[in-house]
Amino acid sequence: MLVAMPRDANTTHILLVGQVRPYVREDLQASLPHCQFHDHRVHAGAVEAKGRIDRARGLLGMSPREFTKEELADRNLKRRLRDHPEIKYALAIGEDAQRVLRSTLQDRTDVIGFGSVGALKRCVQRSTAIDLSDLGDRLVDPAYTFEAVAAAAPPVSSTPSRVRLLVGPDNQFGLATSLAQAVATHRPEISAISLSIGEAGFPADIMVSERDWESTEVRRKIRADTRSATHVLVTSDGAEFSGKRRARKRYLSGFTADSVVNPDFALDPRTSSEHSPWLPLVVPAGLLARRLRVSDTPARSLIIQSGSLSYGAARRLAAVGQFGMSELIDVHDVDPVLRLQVAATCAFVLDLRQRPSPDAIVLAALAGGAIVVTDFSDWHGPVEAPPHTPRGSDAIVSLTQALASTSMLEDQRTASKEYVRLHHDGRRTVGALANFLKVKRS
Amino acid sequence: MRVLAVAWYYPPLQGTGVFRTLALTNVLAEQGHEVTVLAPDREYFERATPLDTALERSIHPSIDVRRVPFPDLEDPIINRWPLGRVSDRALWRKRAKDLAIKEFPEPYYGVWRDRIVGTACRLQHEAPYDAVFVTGSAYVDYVVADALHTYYGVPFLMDDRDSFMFSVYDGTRRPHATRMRRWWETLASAATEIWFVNPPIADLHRRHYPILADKIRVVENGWDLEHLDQAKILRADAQRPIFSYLGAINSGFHLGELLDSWQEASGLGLPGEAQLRIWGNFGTRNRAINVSGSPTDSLALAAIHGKLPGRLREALEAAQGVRVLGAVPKSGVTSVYEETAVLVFFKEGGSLVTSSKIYEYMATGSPIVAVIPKQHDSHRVLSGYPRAHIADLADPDSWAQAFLSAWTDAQNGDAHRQLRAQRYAAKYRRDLILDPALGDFMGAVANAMEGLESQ
Repeated sequence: MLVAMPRDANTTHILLVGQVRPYVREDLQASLPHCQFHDHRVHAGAVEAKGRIDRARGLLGMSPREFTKEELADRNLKRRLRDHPEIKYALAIGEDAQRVLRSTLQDRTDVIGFGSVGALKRCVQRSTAIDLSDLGDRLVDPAYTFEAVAAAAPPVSSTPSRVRLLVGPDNQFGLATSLAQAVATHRPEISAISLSIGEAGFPADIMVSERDWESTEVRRKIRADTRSATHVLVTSDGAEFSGKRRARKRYLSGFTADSVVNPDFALDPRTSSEHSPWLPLVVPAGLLARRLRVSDTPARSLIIQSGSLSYGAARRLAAVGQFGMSELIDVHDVDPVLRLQVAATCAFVLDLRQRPSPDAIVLAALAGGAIVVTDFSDWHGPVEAPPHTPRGSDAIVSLTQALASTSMLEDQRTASKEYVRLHHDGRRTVGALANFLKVKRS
Repeated sequence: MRVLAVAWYYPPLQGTGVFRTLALTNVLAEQGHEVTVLAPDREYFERATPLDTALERSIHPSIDVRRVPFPDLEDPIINRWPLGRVSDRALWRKRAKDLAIKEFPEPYYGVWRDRIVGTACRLQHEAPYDAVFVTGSAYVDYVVADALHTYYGVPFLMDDRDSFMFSVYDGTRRPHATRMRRWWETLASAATEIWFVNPPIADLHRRHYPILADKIRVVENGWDLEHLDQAKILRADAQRPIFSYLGAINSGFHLGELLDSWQEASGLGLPGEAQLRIWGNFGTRNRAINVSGSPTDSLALAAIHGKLPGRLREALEAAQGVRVLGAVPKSGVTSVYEETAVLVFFKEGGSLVTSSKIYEYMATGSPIVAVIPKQHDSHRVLSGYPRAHIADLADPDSWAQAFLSAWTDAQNGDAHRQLRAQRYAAKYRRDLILDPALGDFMGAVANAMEGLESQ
């Protein structure tokens, strides 16, 4: 039933959909004295309408038409909003009403539907403008990060430098960010910006989730933001650049058509070659600098690079190393975004993988002075292997031997830090990029 | 120096968490630092929270506030609800909550993580920061400190206030303890300083993390000079029997007990015209009432109808001399205190809870009736206050007497007595607490930078 009321241009008309409790109405009328409230019962109205239609069809000799109650409610609601264009707000109370209103208003931008009494009161009292644009649902879906990124000025175009480097799109452990940061530190005349697609969590200048990427509007804005890049350094999740990298490369080349794209690089020195030179991983600046850092906690943890450690083996390890069980950290139990930081505070790394590589976690641990027990027996490449204790046939025996010599442990900790500083603080990486960065854009 | 601060609780939001952040960033700006603040978008606050728009004018003009949209999982606008939300609301809510927790182990707020990290990296890229200041709650603010420290080596101050990890009500670990512990330990190990709001919380952390003891510092809440006109309150010399409670009224608030004690005190000797005025939001965030313009009893009562159990609602409506007046903006608290003879401090909590309101109460110099648990930390600050009338929350027989004793104090008091009480509270002026603490932190940052440059 529609409440009769004067058509007053200054009155805000609100349609109440669903069963409205008396105290809710009292609250609304007291809080919004200048509003007129219209009733719209969802199912009762729908059934009444269906009855009318059935009667009419019966008079015409037609069999009753099948409608669901919700279809009827939706139709009634649409008719009501069409007949009363002064209604700009609707409040749905109860799940049925919410479902119907959502269906009715899905493509409407002239009527705002509310699912909460409090929100309706606040927005009407404050005359809040509701954003129903294409990207309006970014407010609902946390995948949309674009607007936050857009809050800052576009960095690539803001630099006076001639070389503008875009690094991305894969950013596992902040790979792209660390590379961009290394370039910014060791080649300050170059502007470097990191971009990540689909790896929510790891910091980057432009963070785009897979869902963001699906939005044409988001891609268009990112394209505008990155168009001025003169060079693109394509990064990949894995130790080796993969097929995924090639797909990403095509993406990036699409909107940086004039840019110089890097040649192949290998992140593991053992896989490098003349055509695919070694690009040392960069250990994030904060893990190297430790500015103002006064202590580590926990001080004596062991991080395990494998998910296959049995409980019995863990107990043995704990006994051998005098660790508390809580100090045996399986790297897979740590949030990916925290793994480097946790590794950097560990005293030991036990790498039980089949063919271990000096990946970001091992390097972060070395940067913190950890003792790494691993298997680099097949090591070859342009540099010596990172300091480590050979794993041998029994990792626990090896760890026991490593723990036995305190002076050797100290030497190895110092050597670990030195190794990372020598090869992975970014200088050598930027050096490896020198030829690529020299190439002029055509 | 350039400082990046992250604060979910920031104006125009109306809530207790705002004032400390506002004061901290303002003090940094007054010390001459170039301050940027990451805060949620205004549109979110307008849709979902009570507002105190006047507070925005208190933001130091030199502060650059970057509004980062908050992805509200409880978005009330039906037009943009995904189909799953109306098809199966319970399932959708569970998935949304799981998603938020996956982002960061803090329900509701965690989903802000990617947006603030992305923005912070971008700003860092444009012009590097020398220090980061993060304050919880919301604890998701901390992720920016982690990102800028890990990837850019920027030192940071972690203002953990009431503790990320432990419940201040009983000292036990909060839900999602394992993931939270990992985050907290990672951050704490790298933080330059870690602040807490009172000694008991700081001691709890020192006991759990002796290695961090030197970094932990108590920086108490206080009262804000710019929001409170002490001289005006002194001149008002309120003599009418008006008792006022100001503060958030959340689910743990002992409203029933407050009404019982009021009724009993009224029967035992309070003047017939005595009033108990209750000022504050019922709940926080989107459960808050919102009374615009001049509040009236009926409007405020209508707004809380349905938010209280029936028994309490009836007791509230039936209680003699009780008025529910909704939230008061910070710019209006002086007027409330001017009219008030006795302030009512009725608080739950234990040894880890101080309650920030008590500092402002003491700054008025007015009598305070405090009904609190025996072990409540506010005893520590109230013990030296000359006009405190304290009753034990566990002893209902003592409540009414505390009200009567405070009313006698109000009748017998004079400006001199009030001034003496105000002077006691001078040491809790927030800017006087923050100035040296922030000065020490920024000094440590400057020393470290010099050290690096000389290497």
